Amino acid sequence: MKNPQQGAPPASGAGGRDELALVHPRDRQAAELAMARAFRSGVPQIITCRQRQADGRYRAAPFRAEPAYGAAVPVAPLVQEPGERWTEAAALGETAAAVEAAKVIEAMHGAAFAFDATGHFTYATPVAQTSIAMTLDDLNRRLDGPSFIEGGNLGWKLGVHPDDYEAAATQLRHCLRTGEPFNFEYRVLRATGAYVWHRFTIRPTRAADGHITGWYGVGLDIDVYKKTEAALRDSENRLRQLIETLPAMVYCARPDGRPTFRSETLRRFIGLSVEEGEQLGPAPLGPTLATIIHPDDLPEVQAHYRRCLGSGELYSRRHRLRRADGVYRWVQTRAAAMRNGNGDIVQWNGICIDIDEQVRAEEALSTAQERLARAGQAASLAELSASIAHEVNQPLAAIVANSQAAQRWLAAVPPNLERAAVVVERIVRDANAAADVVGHIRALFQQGDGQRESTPYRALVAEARALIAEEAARRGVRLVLEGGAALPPLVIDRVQVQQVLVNLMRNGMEAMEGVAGPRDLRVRIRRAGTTVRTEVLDRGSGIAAPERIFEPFFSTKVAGMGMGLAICRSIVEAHGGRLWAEAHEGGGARLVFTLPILEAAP
Amino acid sequence: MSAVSGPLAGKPVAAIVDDDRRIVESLVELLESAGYEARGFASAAGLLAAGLADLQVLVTDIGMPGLDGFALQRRVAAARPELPVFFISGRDGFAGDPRLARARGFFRKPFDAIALLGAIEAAIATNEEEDKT
Repeated sequence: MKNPQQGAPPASGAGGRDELALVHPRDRQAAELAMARAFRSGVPQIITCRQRQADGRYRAAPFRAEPAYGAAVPVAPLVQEPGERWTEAAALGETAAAVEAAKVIEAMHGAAFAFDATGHFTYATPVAQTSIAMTLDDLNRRLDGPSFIEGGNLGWKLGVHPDDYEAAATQLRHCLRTGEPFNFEYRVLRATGAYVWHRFTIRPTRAADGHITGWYGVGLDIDVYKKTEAALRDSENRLRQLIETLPAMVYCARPDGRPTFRSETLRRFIGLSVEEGEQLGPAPLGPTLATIIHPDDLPEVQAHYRRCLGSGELYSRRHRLRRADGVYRWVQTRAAAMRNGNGDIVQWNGICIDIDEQVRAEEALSTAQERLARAGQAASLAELSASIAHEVNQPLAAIVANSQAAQRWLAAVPPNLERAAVVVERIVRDANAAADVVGHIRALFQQGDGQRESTPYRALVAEARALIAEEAARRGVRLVLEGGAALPPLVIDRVQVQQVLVNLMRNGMEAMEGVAGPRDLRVRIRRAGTTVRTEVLDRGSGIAAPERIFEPFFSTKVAGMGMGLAICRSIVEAHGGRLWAEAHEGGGARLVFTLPILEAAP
Repeated sequence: MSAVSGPLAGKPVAAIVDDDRRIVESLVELLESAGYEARGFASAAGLLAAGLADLQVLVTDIGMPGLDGFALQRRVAAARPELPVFFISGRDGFAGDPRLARARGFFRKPFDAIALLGAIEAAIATNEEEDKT
């Protein structure tokens, strides 16, 4: 091995810190750069620089910088046959100018080369050669057939990725013929065995008459950029796929609301791309919205969207969106502002989800609930009118039978006046009872008249207790009112609800008639979620069939008024509450009703 | 009054069952004024406790706590299949109820007292005719 320039071995040793000390101070920077390149590229770098010899004098000699982690990266040795040219061809011919240019580039980049007008290399820097493990002769070796420019291939083909070679060679031949500069990117087979992307820039040198005398150029490692670019492309594809496969339609808009992006799913749904939408008109809240939003929803959507664009608050709205086939479907649209570091809105990002089926299901449910409520009201009404009829029919039946009896006692011979008098007395009594029932009901519904107002509930209960306090005292019943101190006022018809309270308390007192032991009637009030729960507990004999006592004719009392509970239930249900009965642990019955806590009407 | 000439000595015996005291009172009065011995009961259990043996007719309410009129009719039919039973009720819902057919008649409150008396009288007469044959 001999170096044609220096006559010394090209690699005198591993260029490390010790060797660096021998380098002439003015060449030291170049040596350090070579070491940095070796470190970065993983291949040895060779430069020529002045180095102190054993006799203390400086002489130009090759300085070889090894990659610090060389052990991990196998580098194919650069095999230089005896007598092989090192960097420069024996005869430069017309390429002297190109070689000079290559040497300028070498000073900057390390790697550089020059070849003649036919593509025959006359110069390649040591860095270029070591990095690809090819000598000048390797590069120029004819592999097959005609000359390179005629379509033949040279040794450097082996240092190019097979997928890239044909395009690169074709382009280079084209440049050699036309003199156009060569700018091309292809993968080079490094000495490490890895293909690495390079950007090759090759320019011609010309003689005074303009004919091309040679070419010089450099291949720069752009692997990191290529890989970054590929990663970015991958990442973008993944994001696009994510957006397109999300079970939602996605869009973006400028801060003024003008659309900039629609996912394919959204584009297909509304049948309009951003560009097609633009053609409808420029205003962000104009023609496109008017085309795709249901006319009934449009004013609210526009107003809401405009408000959000102004304030930057989250936009969230349920509306109907026109599908490309003209069918309107319910969607839930949400859009949020994306801001930069200064807090300025740079974009709006929105999603739109088709919720048509849920909305339809909800509608069906609410229709069913309405029907059910109406049916319930009708049932209550039928129950109530049956109760009223029963309450009136009972005394009427007695009156008719008694009248007939009275007639018979009077028609007897001799007339039985005594019995007739008793019967007539009963007739009067029963007729009054029937009139009472009618009057009672009339009063209830006339006074009620649906007048509901905010009413302090505990005070109302206390009032009801006062109303029957005298009756309670007469029956020996102690009335106890518990709880209800901190309740919100209820929006109720006070007359009707008081009627319910009086009725339930009277029922309880009647149930305790003839019962030994303490006769306590407790009224407990407390809040239960969004309702106020009222319990009336007696210590009577209890209820054998709690679910039946609301049937209009299920009267356990000799005096009747089975109607009372049916009316109470009607009133409570008309207020949106429930009324039911249950047995309670202490013996006796517990009548419970709830009344909803409503916002007071404005 | 043909009932007076029945197989049993004295007046024909009628029972009235209703949980409304006013109905019991008025029907007892009506039947007594028509020459019956009338017995009033506030519940089916009360009647069953008193016994059915010497009854010639039963008038009972349907909707009552405890044993209702239909249940009472079944008990009575088991013990005295030939005893005529009349249902009375103030409730509309029983119209067309097949159980009504098990009784000799059904009167909705308020009912025509003369019609009820006539039906009772006819039922007792029919029973006596059958007894003779």
